[in-house]
Amino acid sequence: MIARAPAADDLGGVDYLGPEFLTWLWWRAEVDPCFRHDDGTEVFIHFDEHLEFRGERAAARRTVLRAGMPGASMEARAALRSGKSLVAARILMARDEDEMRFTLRAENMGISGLKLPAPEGETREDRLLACLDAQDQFVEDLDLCLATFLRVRCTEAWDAELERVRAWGESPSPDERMQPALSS
Amino acid sequence: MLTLRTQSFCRYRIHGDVPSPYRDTFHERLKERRFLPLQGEEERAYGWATADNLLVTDFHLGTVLRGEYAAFSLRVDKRRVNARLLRAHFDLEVQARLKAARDDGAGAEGGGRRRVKIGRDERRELREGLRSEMLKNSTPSVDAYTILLHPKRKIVHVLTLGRAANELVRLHFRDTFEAELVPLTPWQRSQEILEADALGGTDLRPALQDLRRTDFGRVTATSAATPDRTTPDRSTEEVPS
Repeated sequence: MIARAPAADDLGGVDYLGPEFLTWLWWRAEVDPCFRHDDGTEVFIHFDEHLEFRGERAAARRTVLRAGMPGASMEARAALRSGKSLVAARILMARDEDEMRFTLRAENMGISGLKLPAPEGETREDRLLACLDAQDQFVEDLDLCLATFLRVRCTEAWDAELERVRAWGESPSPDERMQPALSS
Repeated sequence: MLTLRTQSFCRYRIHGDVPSPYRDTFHERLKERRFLPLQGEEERAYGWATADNLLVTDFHLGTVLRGEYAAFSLRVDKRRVNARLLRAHFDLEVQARLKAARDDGAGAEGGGRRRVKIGRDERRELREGLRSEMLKNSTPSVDAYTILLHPKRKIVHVLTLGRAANELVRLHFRDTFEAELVPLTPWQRSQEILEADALGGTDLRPALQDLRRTDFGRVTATSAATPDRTTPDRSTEEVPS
């Protein structure tokens, strides 16, 4: 545990809050990918084809995993076990029949490559408004994930949650389970 | 033409008062800070243009309002002189002048063996002259960054992740509307979410202030002392931070 620096910038001196959120979200997507709005609308999260880790202790190096299903790889679990946290990830977010893919950069919550669902509408203006609605929905869903994280992270429940994340990190990844001979 | 199907963006909260996009004042402010083309030897020009067409700087409800959003763009034109090209032109010009000076000297009485050279001031003038000429003849690079402003929520989306572009948008927005764009970083957004929660009775903001960094790996004497290692393969890339 390292005491945080005084709030002096846009990150409030807690540049680790975003990476912690994204790392938690990765775990949560693996064990319980469903998030629910107050009105019962469900949002599903799946981590896609790009994971980028950054180390905090020892050598602060980055590990970038790109091809295939990096979330299932032994390298991803190894990065987590060694104390690295996720700083960027390609995510698939689904609500009803709509799917949106995007890359979340955790430190500043920058969104890149967001692909909105194909908009419906007869005119260009109609389709533009449909895209704006989809973008609003996307932001609401992402905020739901962050709010869910904060309601655990800022309470005493965090210690137990962290133990679950660590236990998951220490367990064999799907790739390791598929290749017991290689991992032993 | 504004399209949003694929996008990258940074989110900001407006701190301060911005006129309603339904009012003329909003459009007049944009007009005051509209894009004006590069003049003379200017290397950079920037200003607002419409989101639909970066050549149009006529702002009114029809060109700005898109649903509940005001949409416009920051156009940035830049031009620069290629340093290697400038050096090449400069060298050719210097050689030409030296040759001309030698030829003049050879024709003059008692000349021919005198060493000729170009003085520091003349070199500087020559370089500046060439640079100015090349700048005027160069074609500027043109960028336009879309801004989506939701007046009721006081939210702005800047549709680029480029740091320099975002800083320029913040600067020009402040100059235009006398209001700040505060980035909705995880810290800022978390404060807002917990502030809204506090209205419902659960105030977790003090806990947010007291957060300490989490280590998702188990800290052991060995792991704390040895560098992190992962097994590189074709899909893995170890990059020094």
